[in-house]
Amino acid sequence: MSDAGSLWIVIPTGQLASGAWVDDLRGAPAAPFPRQRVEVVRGPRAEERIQELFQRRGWSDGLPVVPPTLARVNAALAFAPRAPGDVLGEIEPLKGLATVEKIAANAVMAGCRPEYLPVVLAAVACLLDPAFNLRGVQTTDENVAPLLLVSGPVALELDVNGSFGALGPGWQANAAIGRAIRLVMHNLGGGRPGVVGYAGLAQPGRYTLCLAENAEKNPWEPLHVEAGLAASASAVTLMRAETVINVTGGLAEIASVMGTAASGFGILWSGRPTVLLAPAVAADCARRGMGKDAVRQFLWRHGRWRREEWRTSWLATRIVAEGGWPDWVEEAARTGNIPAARTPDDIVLCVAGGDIPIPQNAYCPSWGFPPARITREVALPRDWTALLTAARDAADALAAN
Amino acid sequence: MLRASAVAEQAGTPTSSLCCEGFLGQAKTISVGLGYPNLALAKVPGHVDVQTADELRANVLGTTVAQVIDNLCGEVAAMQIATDPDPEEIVFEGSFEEVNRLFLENGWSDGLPIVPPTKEKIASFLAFTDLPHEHAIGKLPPDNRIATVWNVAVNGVMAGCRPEYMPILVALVEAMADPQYGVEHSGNTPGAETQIVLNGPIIKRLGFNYEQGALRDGFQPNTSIGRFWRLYLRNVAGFLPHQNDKGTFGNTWRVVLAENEDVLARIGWPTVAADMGVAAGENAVTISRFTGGNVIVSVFGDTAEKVLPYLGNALVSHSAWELIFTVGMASGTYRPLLILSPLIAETIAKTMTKRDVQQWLFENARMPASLFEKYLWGWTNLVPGKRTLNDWVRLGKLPKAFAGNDPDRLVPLVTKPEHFMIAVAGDPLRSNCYLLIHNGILGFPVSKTVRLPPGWAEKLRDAQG
Amino acid sequence: MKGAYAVVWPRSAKAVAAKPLAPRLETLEGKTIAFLWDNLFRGDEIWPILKAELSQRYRGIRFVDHDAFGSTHGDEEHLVLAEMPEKLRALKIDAVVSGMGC
Repeated sequence: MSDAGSLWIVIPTGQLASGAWVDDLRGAPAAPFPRQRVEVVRGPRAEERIQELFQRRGWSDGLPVVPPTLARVNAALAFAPRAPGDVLGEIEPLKGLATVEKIAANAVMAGCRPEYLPVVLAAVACLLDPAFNLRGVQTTDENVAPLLLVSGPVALELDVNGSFGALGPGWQANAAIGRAIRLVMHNLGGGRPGVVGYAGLAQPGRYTLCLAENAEKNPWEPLHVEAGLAASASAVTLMRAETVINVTGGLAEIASVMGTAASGFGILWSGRPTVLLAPAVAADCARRGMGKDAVRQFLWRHGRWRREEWRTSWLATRIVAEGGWPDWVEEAARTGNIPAARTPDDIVLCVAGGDIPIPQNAYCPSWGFPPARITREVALPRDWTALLTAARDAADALAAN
Repeated sequence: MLRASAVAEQAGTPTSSLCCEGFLGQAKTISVGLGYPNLALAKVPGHVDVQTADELRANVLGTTVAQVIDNLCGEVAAMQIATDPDPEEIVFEGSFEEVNRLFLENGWSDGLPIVPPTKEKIASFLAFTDLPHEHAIGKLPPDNRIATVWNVAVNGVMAGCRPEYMPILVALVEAMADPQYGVEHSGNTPGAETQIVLNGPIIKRLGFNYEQGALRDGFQPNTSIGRFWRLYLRNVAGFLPHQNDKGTFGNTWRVVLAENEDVLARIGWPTVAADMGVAAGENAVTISRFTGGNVIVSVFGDTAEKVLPYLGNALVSHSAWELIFTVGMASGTYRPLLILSPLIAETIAKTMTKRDVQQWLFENARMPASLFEKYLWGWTNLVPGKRTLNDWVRLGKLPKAFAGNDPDRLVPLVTKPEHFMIAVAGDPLRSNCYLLIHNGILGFPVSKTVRLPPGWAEKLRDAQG
Repeated sequence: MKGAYAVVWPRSAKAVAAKPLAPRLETLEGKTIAFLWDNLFRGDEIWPILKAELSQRYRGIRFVDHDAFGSTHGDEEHLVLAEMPEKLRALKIDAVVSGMGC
């Protein structure tokens, strides 16, 4: 029912329970917008207008966004197992309400296909877990980014990449799902860089940091089964990753990177680091009869920060007060060197990446408190399979013409 | 409950407000309307009505206690206020369909097409009042937005009213803003709905229906003004479903009920407005809120004594939890409305005045005391303390008619005969009557005279051509 | 634009100036806490649980029950609220727990 060139947009920025808008909480926003649910943007250049307006309003991560039209948002909402007005929680620090509809609008902006919404909703549920400490993540001067690991059948159905190039560009699901939670943090939580967040450098992972576990090459149980879910379930696991450090080689090399100042904050707050293990390394370990626990044991025992380096480090000498290190750190220092995590169980292992003879692993040290490894099942709508098929058919038809 | 917290904060005492989980969102918006947007709330998980004593205890100890302590001793959350558009500023330009779509998507419409509120249309309404358009009629909870002549006109246009209805619309909003009515309760879970009763010469002047189909849609004044009422409750008072309006089921707007004043004059009975203290011959609206009711079909008999028992029985069988407004939650505030068709009114009036009817109902429309008590606290969780009606007589909350120890004794439904409200309308040749069951202090009867500005009649004549 | 309607917003601005909350307490030790109740939703069961638990955590804490004030909902609500500030003063109430919103 709209004129040619009229786009009906769902306003994607957050509103608090009191009715106040997130944009109004830190002084006047850069560009005005109507404080209502839907806005109409008109004219033959409506799409360009939206890009310009959204950039000026501070609603983008710097890249172009997909305008969250009613049609697109409603298409995504068809995949939500909940009502559009349902509130998942308040996004810290500015506490905009995470309604299913606003999450969908930000997912559309990020470039998500409608069928990605259940995964995005599960990821937002992880963000809202108090253990994730979203407030800390959003406001710190450190460079931490959420790391989203997808496991289970849905990863395959949605083509979330866990193999070659899993941490890089080229897969719509990885790119858009990871970006969706960033836009939720940005627009509903108000975590705008330079306004609320003051990270020194930030990191590229703040555009998107999302991959699937390599189910095919994983010799052990999947991440979500470790967390207590059924194998047939699908889940997302969210970690706080200070950064992503590439490590070529095997367990010894990974351990050698873990046992350095790179693990400083993880150690300080008893955090849970993530290790993305290359398929070749995992296969090698499995061949030698090592399970995940044995791998964790190895890393915990060998990946230790030398005590002398720890004592004279920037953290120890300039940041942490006397007695500020956890007891287990002091205890470890008494007898030897400092492990990168409090216990082997605190190390999260995920097999990912392409299977190549020169194995490329990644070490993602943890940041912040409390210790967190958050898993949420992906809740699917009742008619998921039919909806997915219809969505694929529609996409095929679109491409065919 | 939150009003009490606001009063305490105002007095300088820190508060913690206990809220069941499902109420927290609503609590935040209500808090804004109270002037304390960051009122400290402590959550009680789930809903208390369905928890065992052990579950309640575990929930309170596991979640609520910590939040109460934090509410009273912790950091005060920063205040945030919403910024609103200027009411006289154009917010959108578009086709009829686009305006409707935008209003619907933004929660400004009730789901039916609205008449686009252009400045031209608003001006035509303002021409039928002599009040300045920025005149503030009152402040409406829960949103605490100002009711102005301007936004009365805007919503009147949207509802499909005619400009000449403006004085009635203003009177209705004056009534809505009267604290006696209790508009702040209009979003409660029972979801009762207002009934507007109109009296005065304006009934005929504007063509209100008062005969067959008196409660049905189809007549522009009755219907559009009924719709205006709910649009106004939504847009200006701020009652929106899934937000401040928590009616479990709700009902939709009722058309305006106009009384058959010819019949009332003929039988010598006062109008509803006259009963409410309005001078005879004045135009007036009376608002009251009703939970529901029923049509009383085939009222049979040729004398008052023959027809009244059936009507009395209808009152008894339809009054249930609402009796907490006779005693328990409030005392003597129950005002059920009996609408008699002219035929039945004339039959009764052969030997009785309205007062006589009220007296008869007080003495004969009675219920066993034990059943009355079941509605208060036996079957429901509405009135704590498990007091008997006799206990309340002793406390001075009920008159002697309720006294006694026999649980089977019959007791009245109201504390005074004149609490039975009676109107006359409907098909003059039918023997059906209608009963509306009242929501007590949660929508108490309020009347306001309809002030016609000088020149209203001339303007109307001009407008009608 | 042909056939266009230029329309206004049907609401009006919220009229209430936001007021700051009363200052919070440093601790509940030695304080007097009152219960305000609207006679609904099992507040009469919840308050004793709170009292018992707070007594265990805070030395010298005292309580004033809701019957000192009257019901905060019902036909006496206006009276109860009007009398409340003076009662809070007279009874030396340091903090209030108010229920129940459900």
